[in-house]
Amino acid sequence: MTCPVPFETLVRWWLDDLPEAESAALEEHLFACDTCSAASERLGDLASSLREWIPPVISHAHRDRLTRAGKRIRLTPVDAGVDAHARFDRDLDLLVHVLRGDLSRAERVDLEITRPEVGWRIVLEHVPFDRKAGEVLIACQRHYGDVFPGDPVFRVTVVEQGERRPLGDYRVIHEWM
Amino acid sequence: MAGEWPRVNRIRLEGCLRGLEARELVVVTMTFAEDRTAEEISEALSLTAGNVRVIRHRALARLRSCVEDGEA
Repeated sequence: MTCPVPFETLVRWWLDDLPEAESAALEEHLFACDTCSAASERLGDLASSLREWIPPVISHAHRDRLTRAGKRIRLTPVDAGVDAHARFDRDLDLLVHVLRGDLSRAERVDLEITRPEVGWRIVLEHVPFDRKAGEVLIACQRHYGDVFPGDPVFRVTVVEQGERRPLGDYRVIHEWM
Repeated sequence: MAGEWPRVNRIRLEGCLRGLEARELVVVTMTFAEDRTAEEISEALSLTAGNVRVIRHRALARLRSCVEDGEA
């Protein structure tokens, strides 16, 4: 076992992506080496934080996992071009904005979160979506009220047969309680 | 709201995640939030599993530097 253990090897170990023999050798080394063990622990902290992290766009499976985990979620259906309203009550953990549209032929969905009036935008590519339901789920979290103040526009673009097609602009007016 | 995350500050981590390249963010999201393997991600993104592993470990190395040292 190379010491220090390459970062990539530690990543694969934490993600259960190492062949069994390599994994066993690594574990033996970590048991004996304080330096590598500390590096592994730091990576483990990062990995567990990332597992707890809820991205701005979640899959339906992820939403179901959060529900099963007891998260209190309010779903708000949102159609393109029509302002929707969502209130983040104190007893909620998460708002989920359900952006609806025809995704039946979508190969990929990209999302731009923007506030044109102040000039900021975040582009998220390959976001999860449900083709059959025609839904993209925005996971709006309480701290977004500070991180992304105001009411952003969610601009959805679909890729169909290699061509980009705007699906629409979706806007949710938030009320933070 | 659920309890705070262990050890890594949530706001800082989100700032670091925003510093990743789009493809890195997709791979990190699929890996951790979607719990998908390198092989599954490679199919979804039309990459090789090896490419996915490289993107993944580079993204994590950048995140580690960012959360530990404040370097994006």
